[in-house]
Amino acid sequence: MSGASDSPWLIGTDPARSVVEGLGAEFHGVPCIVLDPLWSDGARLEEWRDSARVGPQLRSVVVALWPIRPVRRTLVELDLEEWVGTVETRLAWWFAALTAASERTAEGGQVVAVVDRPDPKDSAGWGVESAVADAVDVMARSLAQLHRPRGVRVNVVATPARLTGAPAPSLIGVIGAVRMLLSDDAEGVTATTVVADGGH
Amino acid sequence: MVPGDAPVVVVTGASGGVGRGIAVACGSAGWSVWVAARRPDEGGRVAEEVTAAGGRGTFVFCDVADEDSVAAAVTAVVDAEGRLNGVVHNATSGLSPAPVVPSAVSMTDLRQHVTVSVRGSYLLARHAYPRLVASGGSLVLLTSEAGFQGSIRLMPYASVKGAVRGLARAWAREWAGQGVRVNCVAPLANSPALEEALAKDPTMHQRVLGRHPFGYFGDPVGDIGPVVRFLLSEDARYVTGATLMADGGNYPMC
Repeated sequence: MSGASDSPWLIGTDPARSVVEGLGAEFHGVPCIVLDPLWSDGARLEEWRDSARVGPQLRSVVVALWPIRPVRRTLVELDLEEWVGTVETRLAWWFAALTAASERTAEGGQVVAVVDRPDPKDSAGWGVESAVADAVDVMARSLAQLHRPRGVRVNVVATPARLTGAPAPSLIGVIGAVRMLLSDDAEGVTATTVVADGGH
Repeated sequence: MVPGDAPVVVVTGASGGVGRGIAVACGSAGWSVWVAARRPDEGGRVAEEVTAAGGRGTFVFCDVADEDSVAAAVTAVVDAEGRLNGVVHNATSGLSPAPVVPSAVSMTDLRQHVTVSVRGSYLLARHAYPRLVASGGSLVLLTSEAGFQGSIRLMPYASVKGAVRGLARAWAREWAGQGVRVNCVAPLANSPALEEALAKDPTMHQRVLGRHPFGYFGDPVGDIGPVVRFLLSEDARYVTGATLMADGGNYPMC
């Protein structure tokens, strides 16, 4: 992996700045693009992806596309515009960011996605987060298979830590799980989701 | 003749493939099945098959990605039948079987996957919810093995099928208090979409069936339909928040 930057990149939204120091990472924010039902801004998202996936190769990339304040809402409380602005926007963002991050990662490197995920027993009202978390899980597995020939590992840390009202560990515990997956100790671990929920 | 108390169910994407199998299997139990699809000719033929199997089949136009269309379809069923006992969201994007390079997927194509599978689940759930509460009914969302294990070549399809599982889990917990059950089925079956995927990816047949314990794809009517019918029925009244793998043991989840 000569030539690859050793400092992890963190591709994320502003709330993810809270874990930059703990990971010793370099923060790379994403532009604020919220989709409408027609996905009118889809081309802007595509442009961001196409620019993000080229450049110097990286040893480690962490992707943390966290909404500013996750809000518990039942299905009937979400109208179509809110639905698109939350679920569909996040699905599109994660798809774009994870595919770009995987391509930027050097041979033998690793990608870790950190995603909000409610405890299954506490998932009522967290349909948006549940759907996004399960999709991210599958995206990571797909990309882990795709990039396995290059020795690139792709894993997920899923946590309820930021979801209000959920019993959960602090973000320090989440950072620990990310560090473990980024380390050589996890060289045999790919296409896996580590649930950092404090045992709940 | 369909009994007056027979379940009334809607199956989306039922003009062919797995959706047709679900519709006919429900029809063979004497149920009233609304074949919801965008293709009236094909949908009408499946409705006739449902009736021939012993149920009552009716075609209703439904574009699952369009809120007005979903609302109109649900209203049409309830206006005609007076109730709605079950909804099955089976429709997927026509792009589902097309192999892709993930980093080159356009947002236009990704949108199509998302709007049919994920937005479609949301719209059906949202508009059917009060009807299902009234009947103590059931919602079944179709996922896939790919929605667990991912897919190198079909990543958009796999991703939306993963999202659907997350929705079902949350809504199952959300709706249980109102007596409405929400489950998923992950089928592996012969269908036009599978045939197209196999044709487009010559390695897929060996990859999927090479280690399959039964060595064959399921039949939509005989192998998949009855599993979905079970989840819609009273026999499954204590089952919610579950995914049944109807895949011949290809991806064991025990």
